[in-house]
Amino acid sequence: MGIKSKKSFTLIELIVAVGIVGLVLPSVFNIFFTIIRQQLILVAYQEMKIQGDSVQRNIKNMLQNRIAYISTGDYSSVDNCPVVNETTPIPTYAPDLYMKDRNGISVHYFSLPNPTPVASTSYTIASDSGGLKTYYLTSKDVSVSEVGFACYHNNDFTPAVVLTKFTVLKSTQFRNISLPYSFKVRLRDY
Amino acid sequence: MPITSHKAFSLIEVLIFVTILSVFLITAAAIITVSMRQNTLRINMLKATHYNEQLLEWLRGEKDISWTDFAASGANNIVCFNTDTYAWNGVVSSKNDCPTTLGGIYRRYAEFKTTPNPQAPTQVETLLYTEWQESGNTFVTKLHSLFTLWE
Repeated sequence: MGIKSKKSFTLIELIVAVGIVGLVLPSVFNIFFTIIRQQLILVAYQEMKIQGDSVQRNIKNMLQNRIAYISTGDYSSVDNCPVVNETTPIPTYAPDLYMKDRNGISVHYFSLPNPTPVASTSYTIASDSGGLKTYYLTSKDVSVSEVGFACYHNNDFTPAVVLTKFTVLKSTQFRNISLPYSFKVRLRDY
Repeated sequence: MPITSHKAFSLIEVLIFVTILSVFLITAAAIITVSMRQNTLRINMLKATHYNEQLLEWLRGEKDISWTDFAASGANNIVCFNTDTYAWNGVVSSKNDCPTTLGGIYRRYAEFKTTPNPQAPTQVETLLYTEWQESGNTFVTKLHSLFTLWE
């Protein structure tokens, strides 16, 4: 039996078929890629929000419920928060916050590089108590930058107001995303 | 060379094949579109919720510092909080006067209702809204909170 040309595909037919597949496949993969990218970004945002909310809750609870003395300098100065008036503005943000409760137990919030093997540009926010043990307030999946604390009094007789700010960052394979936090708390146990 | 019918597809066969294929493809396309839209919506909603919660934190701080100032600043107004730095100076007569500049797409504003009366308020009801436009629709996240003098 001789080979008849119409029993198999011709070169032209194959070229057309491969051409169409070649046009369709990249766009299909592009769509899937976009969906996966969106999903990863969404998961990253959720992770950042969980971590950031947890840090905010931790610092807020500490300040409102336990802390009596506060300073952005060091433990030795009980209170370096200025009284804000026409001539004295709210101070600029400092990288550290030193605090003591009524019993003299000290707590310190500060920015610290994440433990290895994470890149050295990745930071967390940490607390230690009198230099004894350091707690990381975030997991190393996220980075925390622009950590800042400021404190002031509205007048000589009111408790200190503490301003806190930080930005939670996460780099996905596609882009870097950030979630800024800022809040202020007035001490109660003062 | 004669053309015999069994060597090629008939019109009916091709039509059935194309119909089945198009049903699958249209379903797939619809699912993909919805999925992509939902993803974007969830990302934007998460950010909007964050904006609302951050504003609520700031308001709590304001209330902690001085109830009188807090109650007077809000006093039955609509206030636009459209930047990352918070201030009371954004009183608007309608939410539409609040520009959508926060984070590029968001409009964040708060409605305050002081009770029992503006002269001596003991409660401030706050409704925080973050609104944004997406694919022709307007979405909004709300946060309802009540501040009281004795809290």
